[in-house]
Amino acid sequence: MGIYLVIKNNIKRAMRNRMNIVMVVLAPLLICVVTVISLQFKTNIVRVGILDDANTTKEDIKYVMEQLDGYQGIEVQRAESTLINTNLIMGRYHRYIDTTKPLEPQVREIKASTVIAKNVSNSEKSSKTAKQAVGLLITTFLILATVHATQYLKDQKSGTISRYMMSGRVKGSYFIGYCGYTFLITAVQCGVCLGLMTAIMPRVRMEFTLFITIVLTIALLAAVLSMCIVKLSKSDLRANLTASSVAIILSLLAGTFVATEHMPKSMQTLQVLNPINWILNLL
Amino acid sequence: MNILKVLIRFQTGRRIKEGFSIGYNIIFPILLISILGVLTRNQFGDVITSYQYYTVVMIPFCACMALITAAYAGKEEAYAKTAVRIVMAPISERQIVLSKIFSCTIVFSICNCFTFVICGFIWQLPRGIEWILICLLLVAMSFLVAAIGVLLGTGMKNFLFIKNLINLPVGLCAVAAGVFFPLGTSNPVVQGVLNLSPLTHVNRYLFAMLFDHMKSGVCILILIHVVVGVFISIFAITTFKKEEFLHGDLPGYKE
Repeated sequence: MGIYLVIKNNIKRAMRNRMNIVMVVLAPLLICVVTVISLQFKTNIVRVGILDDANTTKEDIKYVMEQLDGYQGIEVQRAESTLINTNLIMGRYHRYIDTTKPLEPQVREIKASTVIAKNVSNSEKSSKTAKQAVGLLITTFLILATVHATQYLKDQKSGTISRYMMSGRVKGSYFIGYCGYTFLITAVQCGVCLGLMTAIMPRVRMEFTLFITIVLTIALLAAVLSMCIVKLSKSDLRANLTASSVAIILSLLAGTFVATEHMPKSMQTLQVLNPINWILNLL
Repeated sequence: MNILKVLIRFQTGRRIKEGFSIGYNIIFPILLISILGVLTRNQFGDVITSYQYYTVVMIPFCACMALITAAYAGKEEAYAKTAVRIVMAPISERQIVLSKIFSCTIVFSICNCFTFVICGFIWQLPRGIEWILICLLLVAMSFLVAAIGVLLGTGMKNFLFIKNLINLPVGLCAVAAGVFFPLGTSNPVVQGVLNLSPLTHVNRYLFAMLFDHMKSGVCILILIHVVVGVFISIFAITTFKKEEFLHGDLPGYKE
């Protein structure tokens, strides 16, 4: 009964500010959609920059464009000569053609070394996009669940838990009630977020039973982890920062931003210990 | 002036004792750089290693994340129920706000510069006078971040709501700036959207200085950070609300 009361009262408290609830649903959705879209930039397009100088002729540029532009996913553009390394590092260009040197060998080399995009099936692409989207959702809700869970610390400081215990109830039931509240509210927000995401991005679509399983698993993981962090923290600043750090590290190791197959072998074997990886393997 | 020095010394001691500034500005970035460096070891070419890439992009990102610590620094007296003493003491609002901003700036700057130098040595970033300019940029960023954080902590009515959402714009800016993975495009519209993130310009000019020997961009960035930081500090002083500075009772429950 105490657990039920704690859950009911906290839900009533949370519902008082509807604006907060709307923002906490829309904000993770925005992050997930933006990041998944940005992850699509890492496709098989190879961008080649043409480095020219005063002696470069129009024929040279035309030759390079004809030979490379559109070949096996290559895009060709004239590049700035001042930020050569910076553009390579930041991914603006993958290769350069120097027009002061013989063009034909460079063109041949680029054609030969360009990683030809293998024909990836649509289902593989969908699975990859779904994993990235769910991975980001997990990260976001691991952080947001702690925001809800830190109110337990405020209840502790304000004497609410003491008053609860004076009514003849056990302290542990307040904690379990809070876990239940965090689980429920995270499940609702996650369900709405994932539902909106599947509506906006066709590649993320999944069966209904899988959808429910993913939502409940994310909510359970987020609730358990956030309440453990809150129990070990003395202040909500500490809890929030710890949760952010843990969520980002777990997410990185689970392959949200870097594909698992590109990781070193030792990191791949560590995946078995990562709860986020267990959820992503459901997809 | 003496009062301000005393307050700065006191606040700086609190920042150091609390441990978050050190943990979040030293340990967390080194951990992230190590993890991301290992995970993406095979994905970088000859120009730069993965560790070098993440050293350059991760430290400014973590410097921005210190916004949360600075916001809490603005609110800590309210939560500790000692704000009334501060308000009743013969200390002006300007001294209260500036002591918080400067104390946060000092601690964040030391942590960020230390992290950069250590990571730069470990992962062999190109060395030279550029490191001094990068440290100056980190100091300027710390000042700006501290000013914004203290503005949120001392002047905003709905502190908890804003504090909960601070992570989101910083996260979005980080993704757009290529902090987690290089994000390149040749589409001018998309590039324009990515350029909306201030971290994109910071990262670009840092790489340009270290790998293309162009120092002018970083000097302009330092100036912009300092000027904007000064304006935000003035704004923080003028919008300082005693009732919000004092308000630490049952935070988040009263609307």
